[in-house]
Amino acid sequence: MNLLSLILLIPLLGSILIIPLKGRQAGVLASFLTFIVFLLTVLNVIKTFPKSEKIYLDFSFFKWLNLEFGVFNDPLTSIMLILITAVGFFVVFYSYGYISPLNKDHAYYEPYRTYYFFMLLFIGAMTGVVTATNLLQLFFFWETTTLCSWALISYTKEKKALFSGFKAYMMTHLGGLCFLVAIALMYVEVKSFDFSSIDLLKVSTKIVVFFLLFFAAMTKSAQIPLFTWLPDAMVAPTPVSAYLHAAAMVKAGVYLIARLYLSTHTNPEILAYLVGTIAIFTIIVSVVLYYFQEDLKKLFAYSTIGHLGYIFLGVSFGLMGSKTGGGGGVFHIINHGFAKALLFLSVGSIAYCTGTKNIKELRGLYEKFPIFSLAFLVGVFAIVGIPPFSGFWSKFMIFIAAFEIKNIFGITVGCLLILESIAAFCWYILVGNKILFGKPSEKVAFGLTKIPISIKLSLFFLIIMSLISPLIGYPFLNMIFRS
Amino acid sequence: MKTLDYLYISFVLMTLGVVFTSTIKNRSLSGLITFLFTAGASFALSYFSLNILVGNKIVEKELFSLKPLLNSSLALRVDGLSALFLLIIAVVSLCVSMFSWKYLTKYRQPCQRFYPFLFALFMTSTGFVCVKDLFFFIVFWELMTLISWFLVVFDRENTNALKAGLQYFIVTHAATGFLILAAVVIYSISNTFDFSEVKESFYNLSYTNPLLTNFLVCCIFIAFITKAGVLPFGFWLPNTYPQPPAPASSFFGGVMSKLAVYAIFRFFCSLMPISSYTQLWGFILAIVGSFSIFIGTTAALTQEEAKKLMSFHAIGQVGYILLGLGVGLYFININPFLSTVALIGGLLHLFNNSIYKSLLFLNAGSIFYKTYTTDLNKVSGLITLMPTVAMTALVGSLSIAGVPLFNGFVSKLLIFESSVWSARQTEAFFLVRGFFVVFGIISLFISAVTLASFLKFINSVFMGKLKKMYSNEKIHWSMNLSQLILALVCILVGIFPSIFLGLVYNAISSSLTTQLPSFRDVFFTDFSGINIFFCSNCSAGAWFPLFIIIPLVILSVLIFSFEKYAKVSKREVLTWYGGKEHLPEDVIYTGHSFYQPFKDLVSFKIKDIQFKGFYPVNTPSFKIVIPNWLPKIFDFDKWLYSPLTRKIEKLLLLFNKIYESITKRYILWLIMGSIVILFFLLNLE
Amino acid sequence: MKLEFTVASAFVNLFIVLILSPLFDGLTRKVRALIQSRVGPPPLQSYYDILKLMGKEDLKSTINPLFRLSPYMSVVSIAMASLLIPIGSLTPPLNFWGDIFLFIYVITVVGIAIIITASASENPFAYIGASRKMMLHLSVEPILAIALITGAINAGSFKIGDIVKWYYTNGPNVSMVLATVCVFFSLQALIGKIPFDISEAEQELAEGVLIELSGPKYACVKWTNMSRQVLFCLVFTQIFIPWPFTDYFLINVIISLLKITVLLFISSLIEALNPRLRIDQALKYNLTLALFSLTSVFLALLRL
Repeated sequence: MNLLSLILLIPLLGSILIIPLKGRQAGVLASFLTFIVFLLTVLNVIKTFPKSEKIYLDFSFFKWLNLEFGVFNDPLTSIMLILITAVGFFVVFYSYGYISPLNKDHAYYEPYRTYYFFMLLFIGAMTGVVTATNLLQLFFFWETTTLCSWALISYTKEKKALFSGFKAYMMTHLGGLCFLVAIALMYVEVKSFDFSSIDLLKVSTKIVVFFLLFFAAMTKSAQIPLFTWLPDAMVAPTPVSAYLHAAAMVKAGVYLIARLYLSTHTNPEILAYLVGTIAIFTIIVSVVLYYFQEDLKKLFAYSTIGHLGYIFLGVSFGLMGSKTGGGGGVFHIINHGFAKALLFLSVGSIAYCTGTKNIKELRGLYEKFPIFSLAFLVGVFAIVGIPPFSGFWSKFMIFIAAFEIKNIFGITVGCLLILESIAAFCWYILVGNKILFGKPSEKVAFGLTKIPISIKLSLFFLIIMSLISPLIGYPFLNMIFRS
Repeated sequence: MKTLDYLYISFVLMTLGVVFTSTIKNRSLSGLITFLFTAGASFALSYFSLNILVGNKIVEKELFSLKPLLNSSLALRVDGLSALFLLIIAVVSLCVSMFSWKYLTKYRQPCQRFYPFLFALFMTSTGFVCVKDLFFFIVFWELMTLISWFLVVFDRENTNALKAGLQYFIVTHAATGFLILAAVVIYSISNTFDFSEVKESFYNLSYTNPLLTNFLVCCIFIAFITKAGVLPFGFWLPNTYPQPPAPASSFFGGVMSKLAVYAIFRFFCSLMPISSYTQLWGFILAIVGSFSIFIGTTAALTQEEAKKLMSFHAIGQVGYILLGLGVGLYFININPFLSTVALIGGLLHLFNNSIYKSLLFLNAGSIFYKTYTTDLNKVSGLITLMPTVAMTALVGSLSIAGVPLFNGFVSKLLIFESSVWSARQTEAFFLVRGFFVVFGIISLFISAVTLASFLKFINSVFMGKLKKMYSNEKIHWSMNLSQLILALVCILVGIFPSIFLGLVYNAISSSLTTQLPSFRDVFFTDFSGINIFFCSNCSAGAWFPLFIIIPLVILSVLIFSFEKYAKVSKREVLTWYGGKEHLPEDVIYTGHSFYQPFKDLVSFKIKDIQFKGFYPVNTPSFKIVIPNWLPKIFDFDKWLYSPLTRKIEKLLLLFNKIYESITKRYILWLIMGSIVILFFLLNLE
Repeated sequence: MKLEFTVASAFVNLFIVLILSPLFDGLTRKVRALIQSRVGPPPLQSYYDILKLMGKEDLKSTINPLFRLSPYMSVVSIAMASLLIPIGSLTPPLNFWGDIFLFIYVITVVGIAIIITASASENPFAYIGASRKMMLHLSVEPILAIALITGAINAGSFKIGDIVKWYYTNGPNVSMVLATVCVFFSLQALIGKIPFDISEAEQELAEGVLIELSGPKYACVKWTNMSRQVLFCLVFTQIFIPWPFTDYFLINVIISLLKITVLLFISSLIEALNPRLRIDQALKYNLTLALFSLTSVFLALLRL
């Protein structure tokens, strides 16, 4: 049984094991399992770097469909796996402290097993998405993630949460339907579900298939026009937001597009421009909407939308022929994942201790909660793109790509990107200044002083991971783009 | 040891400094470690830089490369210009760290907020002047901004510091956006970030697309002008430099703003070819410089707080450097001799300015150390408490005013002479020559204004009667020594200028793209003075500082012997107030009242903004308002999805009506369905 | 440059500016007295005053060491400045490149020395006087600088000696005449006499900068003020009106003494017949004059 299959199976099986457990033990087991998965990922990466491998398992059941299921590993998958399992472990460990009745923001009561069940199932499903060998397997795990996200968003079972979960489910399922139509169309023409078989299609079918796949990715990654589910999904518990809506689920959409970019060689230009236009629109809209947000989680939700736009933009530049763009986009996946997860978790811990996420009610956090402030600052600098933090390197590569393609579209997009970077920076530093420094407000002064050790440890390690993520991603990038 | 090893030693020492000081909480121990490590690093750096300057060498090394992903690499290239700046950084960092050893005891914030960032700032400054690659240039530049922001908001409880830090960070980051734009466009054209290859593609670009070249130069210009603090982009500087503790302000004023000028030198001298753009941009630099000189120093005359006074003078003095650089660039093809003099004047003024500006900020720090305030109206008579500081403050003030026998005079003389001599260059356009002469006259006038302003500073702070009793605690020897070292360098450069002129000449000539006339041709020097030639067979003259000292000494001896001869009796009395008895506190002439008529002459009001000394005191509040209807448009849920889903729901409900359990309806459906099927079956046949 | 010539002309310069200045001051006082229908003091009275003051008590009202040193500094700097002006021949004793700027700075140092004395004395009257003296100096110095620079542009050299040589050989042109006129109008402020003696205003400031001085220090500062008169008159006559000029050293010296006498006569007339200006009026007058004199620079550029 090779490592990859283990990485895939352990979370799935573990979720079933959680079911009979009561109370906190569920959390302990879940953290332990995710830690094992993380270690296995690291081992696997070290073992298989730099080759890519495909391992097929035998399922004669589906022989008539002319495909083989299995697990697949190449540098892009390795990057995603590190992101998913690392952030997964930290989030589950964090939840062990966060999901408790002592939470000032929203007290969570037993039983916790539904939470950990769905979390582990989700981690398994995400692993399945990135290790899938063909589009059908990918689709299978894709829909599983949709299902898990519905359950997790509606975890608190309040009216608003239920509605938001339902809305998210409808929108992403609409994308899933388009995905199904796309792969059905593809199979009808070339009788294969492989990634590279898009190349073999006729031009008209290729455009339709690609567009439908892009639509699916768009809904999953919350681009215009189907982005409204993400800000509303912030009613979920914060670790859920950190994982789903920063590091994992929304990254499934960009993973799909990146995989298509890397596997196919002939892409019609019009699609690249379409992807790019939608991405730049999303970025601008998200920057404009920063100004109106009062709730920290909603602010970061819009920021996630914007940064996913960055990744799409980078990949679209790659489709137009600029290797730096593709590299920048892929690099930004891992940089943004760690930084955004860090930001969400820090917001969650602030909410845990003070009971509020509102910018107007938080002041002077630095005095009382130094480690949360440090996490917040590191996350903000990484997101905005200040060297030597991670966001700078990938954003700069995308800037370069915008001007490298040397046409009017690239130049306008480039200028808009630099403007957006500066505007986002201004707003973030203003928000940071407001909530971190100054005299502590009422809610901060009366906040909890006893912070669970799991929260502190996860934040600390996540800060370190966020700082070294460029170093992690760099060898893989070199591998992908060496040719 | 190879030469580059000294650079590595200093880096290692500074990294160790960061590590140690971030973990130690004890103030004195942390300060001592800072001082020792910085001393070691600065000695290594000064040896390294003097080695390169005197020997006129260039040291190159590539550390690691980002190819093939991005065509850039962390390559070091230390030529004369970089070495000069390394020397400046070494001297200033030594004195600053020596000063900060005991200085931080007056603050109650933890010292871990200060020392690690100070070390990091030294490190990034050193790295900044050594890199050869545009990408890492930007990385170090932004790093410097980030670390200095942490130093500015050192006093986190003070809202002024927070506001100033915010303004600083946002303005400099926005300016860096211009730099990133220019760098990215350059990369798209030349496909590399290396300076030497960028130079060639710039050369080609200036022929093929002059508009784009000018745009790029403009972006680069704006980016660095903002950080250097030149008006009108440098409006953040007077708010920001007073906020951090004095050692940090000293490093900012002495080194950080000069690094922006280093970038300008590097771009205009090494990266851009000499063409008609050089003339245009030389002229623009000279205009901007003179504007800054005039407004900055006139506004400084009206200031009543010591650190803010120094910051305004920093703005003014940077203008001198840019004026020298601008004149030099303008005439570089027309009259190389004149251009050499101007460029050397500008660069030497940069060196001098770093030294005396750091000295003056440290003086302000000593004042704060003793009296907990830097307000000129509240302190007086400190000469009895801190005589060494008063002496060094006097030396610093005379240097910045450009009094002969101090270092300011040497560089200012070169700048005046070159800008006025441009009147003789008949090849240049008449109005341009006129402008240069007027700039020269403005800079001469402003020298006097600088002197006036600093006399006010010295008068208000050190002279006069001691207002209240301060603690008897003496100023620590380390703080005195650091200021003495800087004052000594000022006097040294003033009396033996030829050595430093030679060093600066090496720095300039190694970085320019064209060849300058040799040093021997332009400056004939020996240790006693300098001769300056403005053209190859123009008459020469000399500035002999030592020869000026001889008559001075003779005359002083004569006059003093007069007094001794007179043999008068001495008696101590109280100060005379016109016959009435007053307490000293009632008749204090505060700093506010100095030059009041002049202040009234240069203050006016435009609409709501009050201008004091041509500088706005209260800027109108600047609020960005995004209209409220914008988020309503983007709330797709409200106007698109919810109505759509509701309509679909209604439609589906309509279908539901089919299945209402009324038997007659079903029979109707059955009949209609059978008719349709019959119809189809009939058609198929 | 022969060493004997340098030393000889240095001695002559110092003699005229330092030793003969009380005589000229006595002359001024006599002229003023005659205008005011008085008999007035004998011409040698100023010598007697200085010698008397040298022997008076030295009152110390402050422990500041600068208070003791700076009056002597002012005399030294006036002496230095005198070495830069040509009296007996067309070149001054100290002749080197850039001595225009050195000259302007040394004149500033004269003012600074007196200002430091005033500020070291800790008397608020002295402070007011010092502040006004600085402002006056700020507004007047540009005029002299602009005039000298006009000469430099015309002569193509930064040496005062070269400027004088050029002016003598080439005769007046429009820019130089304009510069001469401007310096003449600012002469009263440079010398520091009514209507411009605002910093030593007896009625308003109780003698301003001089209030705490007594004995030898007072003598030195008074001597400096007298020498300043002679120095600036010399600047005007030797640099801006270098005619007539012969080849004999002693005759040139006598000619310059005669020129100074005429100029001082005119100056005393102005002093006796005018009130004192307020500081803001003086500032406005000087700054307008400075702006006006900029035109001479442009004319020099046009080679007019």
